[in-house]
Amino acid sequence: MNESTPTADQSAAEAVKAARTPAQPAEKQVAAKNKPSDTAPVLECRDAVISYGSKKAIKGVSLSFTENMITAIIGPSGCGKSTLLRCLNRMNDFIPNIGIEGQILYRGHDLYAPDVDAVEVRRHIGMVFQKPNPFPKTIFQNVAWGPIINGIASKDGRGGKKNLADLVEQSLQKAGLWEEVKDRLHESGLALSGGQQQRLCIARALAMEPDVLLMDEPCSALDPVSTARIEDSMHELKKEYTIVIVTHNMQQAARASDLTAFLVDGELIEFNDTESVFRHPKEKRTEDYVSGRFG
Amino acid sequence: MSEHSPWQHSAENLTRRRRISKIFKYTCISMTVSALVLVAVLILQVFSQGLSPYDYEATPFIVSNENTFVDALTMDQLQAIFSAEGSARKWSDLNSNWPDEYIKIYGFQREYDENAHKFITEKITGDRDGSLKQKDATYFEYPPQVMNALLDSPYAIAYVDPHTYSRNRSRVKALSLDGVAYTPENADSEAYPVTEEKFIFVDWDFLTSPPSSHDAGETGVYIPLIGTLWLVALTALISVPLAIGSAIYLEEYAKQGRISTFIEINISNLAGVPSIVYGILGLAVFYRTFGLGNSVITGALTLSLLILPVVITASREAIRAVPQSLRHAALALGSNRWQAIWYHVLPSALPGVMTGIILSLSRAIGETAPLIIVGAAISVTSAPGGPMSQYSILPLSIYEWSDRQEPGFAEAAAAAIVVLLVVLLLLNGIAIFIRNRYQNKLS
Repeated sequence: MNESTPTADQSAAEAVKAARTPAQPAEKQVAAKNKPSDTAPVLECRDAVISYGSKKAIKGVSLSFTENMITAIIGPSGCGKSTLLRCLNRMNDFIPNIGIEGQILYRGHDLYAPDVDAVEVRRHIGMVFQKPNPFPKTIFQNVAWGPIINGIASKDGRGGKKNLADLVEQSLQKAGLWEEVKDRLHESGLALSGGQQQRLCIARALAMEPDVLLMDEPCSALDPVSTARIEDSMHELKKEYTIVIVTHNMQQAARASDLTAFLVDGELIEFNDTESVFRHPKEKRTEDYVSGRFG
Repeated sequence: MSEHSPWQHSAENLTRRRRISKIFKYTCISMTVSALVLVAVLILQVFSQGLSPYDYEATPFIVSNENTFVDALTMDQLQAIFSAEGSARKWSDLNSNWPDEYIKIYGFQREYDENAHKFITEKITGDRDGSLKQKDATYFEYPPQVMNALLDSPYAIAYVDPHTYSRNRSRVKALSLDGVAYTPENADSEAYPVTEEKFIFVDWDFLTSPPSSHDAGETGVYIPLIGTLWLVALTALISVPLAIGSAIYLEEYAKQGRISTFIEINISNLAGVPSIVYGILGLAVFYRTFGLGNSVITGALTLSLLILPVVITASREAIRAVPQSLRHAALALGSNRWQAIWYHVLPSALPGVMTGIILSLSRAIGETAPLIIVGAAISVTSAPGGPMSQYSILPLSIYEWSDRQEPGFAEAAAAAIVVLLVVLLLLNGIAIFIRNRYQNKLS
């Protein structure tokens, strides 16, 4: 027996330990916002169990998402990645017989406490969906709608609100779309190409100035060029926001993310910094998955 | 090895499928053509009612009974008398046996009825734009004035309308023209030279005159038209918000379960209830219990009940057709349900909702039986001034006129149908315009 192959018990214990504490990469600086760096992660799941009726989609997952980092959630189809993601901003509220146990915490506060307003939650935790879904309105109106109805911005920037035009421009710039649409802000959002529409959706989410940005397979419906563009903007965005991205594209996870969580059948198999997960996976299943042997 | 080519089976299949496809296509085309032909026939029928005159009206030329020398004139003599260039100034100019007296001319010229005057001018002078003699002639506004003037002088000649003549038959005599006496039979056969064909026109007069009970030439649709417009406006105001609100609640907020399904089944059933039943319901609830009587609001409430199921169903379908992704996109931006519905779902569903409204209001415009029951009166003296006024409606006038014996009322009914169709088309046009604007915004 090889010394480097640990016994079954030891590997299990190590796997659990790896799942609970993500290794902090030495070189990366964690840029804090206007807060003292705290040990509480931005978003955290503790023994989350999510079920549709009697079928369990997520079986006891504990995961934490670190500030200003891109965390990727990967795994084979049907492993519950999107379900988990949607719970993080309470978008699962709209599914009729959803059952959520365990805790999901946002900066230490339970998201599912009875007195929490789900609408307020979504102002801090934004989401970009798999298929681009811009509103059937102009580009400007798409980005401006959220801030206007939430009272964040107004046309002239009075009353303590931001200037709408500035906010729209900044959001489009952050999403990497400004140069392409600055001359046609009043054309329909639906007239854009698929990649542009998805960037419009990103800009729309950013205009709300969220804390966390959840992205549910944002590039799966796009061509490689658009995908590369979005991944580039993600690198810029993580300086200001925390990003959680669900993807079935392993190369994308390897390229774009800092931390990676690997789920199978609703269970967390491994959670570590991306380099470790892909180069030196601790679990056999992880190794099989990332090397393409299954999934 | 058989000679059977690998394509043979599919070739036969393909020919057969092509044939069936052609049959199907031509069947559909012929169905469409039949439907269009039916509609065209209907419209032509209505419009053709106005093509032939409904009556003939002869103009009597009269002299007072004291005039003993003249009973008949030729058209040439008439022209000599009445035409501006006519040569006759005295009776003796026409016939040496007749008195050497100036001919006094009396006629009438209604200010608002230019056509009647031009008709007389044309018959007399042969030219529509000719002029009648002005010397020794007086033209009044109303025929009774003409009659009074004529009776004062034995040497006067005048033309009046048949009505005034028949009221004064004992005192004047109507001259025969060109040997044809002034009788109804001669008028109908157009033998009498100065006979006018009477048509019903859908003109400004028709639209702004109140209905007349005795003379089809005078009748108009003003009061029923305003009544119909009031009714449609009030019905739309009541039913549209109710229907859209119900549809939104049932689709977006209500829990999908047994109760929701129960409500849906009942609404669908209500859409099929005969309209007269709604009339009786309206009578019991709005007329009596609410005490609203036979006012426009009663009719509007009854019609709203009638069309509510259809608009609710159409709106529900339209809202259901809005993709979930749109709602999720709005909600993910931190909006509440109401904001997502108001700013995104409703505008998206608007074309479907408008279609439901168009169809329902079109049906409501033509409803007669339920409105008779709740008291739409046949004869109302004035157009409704407010929601509590009495009213009459176009379909009711159409029904009443089509039933009458006097000449011209059948044509008047057709004219009223034309007016109703135009109102319908205008309303639909507005609704379609609104719907298209929203559809263009969406794409």
